[in-house]
Amino acid sequence: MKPVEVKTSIETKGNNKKFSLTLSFPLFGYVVKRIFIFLPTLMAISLITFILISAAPGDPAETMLNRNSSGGEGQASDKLATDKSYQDLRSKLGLDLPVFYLSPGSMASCDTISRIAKADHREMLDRMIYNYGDWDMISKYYGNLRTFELAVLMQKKDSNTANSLIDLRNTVGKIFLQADVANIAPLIQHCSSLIITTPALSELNKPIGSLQASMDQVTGNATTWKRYIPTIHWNGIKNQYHRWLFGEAKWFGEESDPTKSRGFVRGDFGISFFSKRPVSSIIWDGLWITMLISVCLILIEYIIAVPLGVMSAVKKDSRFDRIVSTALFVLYSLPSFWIGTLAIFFLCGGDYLNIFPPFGIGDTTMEDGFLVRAGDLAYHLILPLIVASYGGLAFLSRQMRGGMLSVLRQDYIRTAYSKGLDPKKVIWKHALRNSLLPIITIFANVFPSLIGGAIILEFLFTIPGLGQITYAAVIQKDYPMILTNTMFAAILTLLGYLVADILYAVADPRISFSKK
Amino acid sequence: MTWKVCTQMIILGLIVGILSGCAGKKGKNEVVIHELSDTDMLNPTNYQSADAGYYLAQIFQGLWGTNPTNLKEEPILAKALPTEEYDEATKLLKYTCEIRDEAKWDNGTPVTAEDVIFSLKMYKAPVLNNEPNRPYFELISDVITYPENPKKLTIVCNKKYILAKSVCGSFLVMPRYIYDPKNMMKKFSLKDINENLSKVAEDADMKTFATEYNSEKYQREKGFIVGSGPYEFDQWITGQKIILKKKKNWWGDKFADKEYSYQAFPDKLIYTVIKDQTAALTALKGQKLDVMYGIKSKDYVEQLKPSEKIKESFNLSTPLSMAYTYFGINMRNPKFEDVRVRKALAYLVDVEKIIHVIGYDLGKRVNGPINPYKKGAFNDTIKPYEFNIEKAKALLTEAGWKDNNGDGTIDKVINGQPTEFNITFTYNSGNDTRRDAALIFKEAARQVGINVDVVPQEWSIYIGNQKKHNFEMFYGAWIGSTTPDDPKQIWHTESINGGSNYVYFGTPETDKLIDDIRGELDEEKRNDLYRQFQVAVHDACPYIFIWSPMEKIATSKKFTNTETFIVRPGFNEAGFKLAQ
Repeated sequence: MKPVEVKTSIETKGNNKKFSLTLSFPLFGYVVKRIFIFLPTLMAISLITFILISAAPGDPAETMLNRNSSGGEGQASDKLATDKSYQDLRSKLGLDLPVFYLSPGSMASCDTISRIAKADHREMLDRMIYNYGDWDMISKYYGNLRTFELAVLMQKKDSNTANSLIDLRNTVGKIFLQADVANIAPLIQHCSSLIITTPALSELNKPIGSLQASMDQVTGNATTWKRYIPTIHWNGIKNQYHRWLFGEAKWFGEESDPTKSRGFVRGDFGISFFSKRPVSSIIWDGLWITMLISVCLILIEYIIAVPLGVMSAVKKDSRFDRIVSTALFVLYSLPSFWIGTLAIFFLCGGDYLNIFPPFGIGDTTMEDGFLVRAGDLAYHLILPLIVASYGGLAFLSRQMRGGMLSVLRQDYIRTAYSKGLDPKKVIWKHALRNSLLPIITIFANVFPSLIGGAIILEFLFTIPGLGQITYAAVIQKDYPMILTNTMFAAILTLLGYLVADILYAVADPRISFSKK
Repeated sequence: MTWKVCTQMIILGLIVGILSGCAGKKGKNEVVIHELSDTDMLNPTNYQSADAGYYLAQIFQGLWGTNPTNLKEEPILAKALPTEEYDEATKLLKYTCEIRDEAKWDNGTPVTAEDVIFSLKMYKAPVLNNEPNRPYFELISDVITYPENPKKLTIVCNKKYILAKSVCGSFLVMPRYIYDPKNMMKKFSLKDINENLSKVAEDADMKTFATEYNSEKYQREKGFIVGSGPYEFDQWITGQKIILKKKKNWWGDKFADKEYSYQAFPDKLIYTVIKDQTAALTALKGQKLDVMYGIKSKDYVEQLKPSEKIKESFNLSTPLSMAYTYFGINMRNPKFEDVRVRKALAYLVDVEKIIHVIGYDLGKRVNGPINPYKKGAFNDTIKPYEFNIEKAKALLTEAGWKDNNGDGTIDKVINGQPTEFNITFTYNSGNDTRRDAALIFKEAARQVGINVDVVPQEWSIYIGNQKKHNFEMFYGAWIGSTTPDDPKQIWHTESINGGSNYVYFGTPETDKLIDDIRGELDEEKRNDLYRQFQVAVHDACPYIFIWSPMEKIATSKKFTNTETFIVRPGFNEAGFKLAQ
């Protein structure tokens, strides 16, 4: 095995096209195959994200209506969602639809429950269905309960009825939270006795009667066996996932209703819940700065780390190696958020030195010349880049050193030396190329960071990049933003691996994609 | 070669950048205000975040509003405060006013009643993303115009309500010619929107208009955010800053000397986002900010107060805020049903210690839901429950709580079950000041044999549990406003299901008091009712009222006329005058 390798590397010596890659058919076929595998992977990722998001606690429609209540304080004003606004918003966001095409459940479960606006009520009905099985009866009971609630609210309040009405309203509120007839019965009993003792409320006799009757029917017709029979409900294409992925607008021909979405696959990433802007436009705003920073970071890290790693591998155990190793270990173990805060505190014009700006990416406007703008941007980015790069740099450099060390022990390196080849050539041409594989593997992970960015860094220095946008989306429960970001991160991760695979072949001709 | 040029350019740029950075912006008539995060949008009817409201108030004007320095109502776009008229027969409340003759849009056309009607349609119409603000304006049912005077109008409210006046004055008047150039909304009257909301929602024209109106253009593009106010929207650099520019020869400039709401001196208002608190404080010390508000007490006391740099160039002030914090008690929980128990708990809270230790003395104790700043309505005869462990012990014994089994925790037989007195006290996770306050309470409660378990909960769960009344005690807070307090949301029994009466407060008597307050337009009489109401709340002890924290604001000495006040955000940047 080994002689062949030596041959290969010697044979390619003197060949000027060493790093060029002809796009051979096996490689092309491999790429196409990989892209086909991407699709189901992406589907799976999007579906998992989607389901996780919809299962998370909190109701985005409600959060949106009470957005002002940030930092743990609520508005005392009458600004709470009225039911109408809430329902409008829910249907606008598509939250009244089932989550997916299929909903697994038991024979007892109900497929239209997502249409009920109040989350508490949905929860109660779900438990009730589990307890008693028969959705028809339960929905009748729920309807009667709503009617009774309305009837109570419609009653005129005067000094005779006030006490009973307050009690009735509270009891109804409690009934809505109960899913067990054993608990409901005494509450309804309590209501009836209140109505009987207050003659002015005789109008309520009828609704409480039908409520009582439907409750009895729920227990009478209990079909608990149904919950043991698993079924899968088909929800059709009117579901949240379909709406998000494919949209509601017509595929062919002119869509008359401009409020309909076009779906992820048609490039419509939805509207942000928080700022009501198209998601694509928000991402575009943050993308360039994150890209810029990422590219700078990669360049800085690789340009410094690779030579440093190689040098310390070559001069293993020398004083140089020891100093560099120690320094890198120290750097690697310093958390960047801490260093960042310290840097801002001491270097950015507070009580100490005033060398760097403490925040932002520049104060210039379009009226200033390009040179001034670029300079200002660079000036603002120096400190963030230093803080963000030293950790990765240290890590990368250690990897490089390790990879190089293992290659330098190989026989062909010794052969090359013994042939009298220039040591520089041996190291930088033959050894480096073969020790690049671990570095390429790391490089694959760079792609998703293009979109995720360095959240902490962006937060510390108030850089309006994608990392910050993503972080805000998570905090604000901005589902369309989270979904789109996750999808792009997934796509870039997959692309990163693909690029890495191709780079393996470039770096090491032994790796090929043709079937043998 | 090119490489060399590039490096040279970068170095040159760097030097320029550093120089311009060091030069600073001294002497410029611009106010730079710190913000913790970017706002959502600058659409006057669709915005959600409070910050957007502050910016919009510099661009747009309402008909009348409250002067934050003295809390008196003053006319803004209207010539004078409106005349109020209540019709007993139809139960309609009407406000009539006339818009100032001088009031003009940027294109020179006058502000008319038509614009007012258009704006109200924007607040009330379906399909628009106005859900966060729409519920406010349910109460306005129509606007009457007068053909002989296009500037005169009457706003009709469908009920007698204390907040009607402030609602009718507070909405921002928008120019129809900018927001609806094709006049598509002419088709729908305010009445249509009020009565046939779902029919209007289905209309194709409504949908087309809404798509345009909801679009990014009217959220953040120059030229599409236009009002009659002193400032025009200039630039929004996402995640960085929003710049408002003073209009040249603004029509309202001649009122600036006499009327508060017409003060607009700085050439530019720059709202700058700095996310990280350390970075923001550093920027303040480096004079890169002129105003910083919402400063944390700890930073205020430990970083700003002792700093020489700050003392040199900033005024620090701590106006009281309209907010108050409280411990809520679930009155329907069998343990807390007895008012003596609730009072005992109130005696166990060392409020002074909480304010001193956790609040750095930057706040004031409150005794009820009405802010002491509202002098007429505030009842100063109520003495808050003083910290007194002996009294608490006595009340608990009176209520039947004793340590019968000798385990150190008091107990009582409730509904046939022997129950130990354990309390689960919840707060929103991450809010450490609340945790620390709860721990002070826990210590005191331990001394009378009550176990308090302090539990953090994620915000949505914490709020959800309160709505479901699924809690024993929690740490909460409310922010009031300078308009008359409407206690219904928090204290009426109708707000138990669906409102914010989490603690089950209320009797028919308090309900009646609240209903009376809501319908009483006479201030004197209403204040009487408020005072009675505070006594009722104090006696039932549903909340243990803690404190009203102070705002912490730093304003640059570069400017004069930088008075701070109780109304959020606590300062009026448009009134800042460059010091000579």
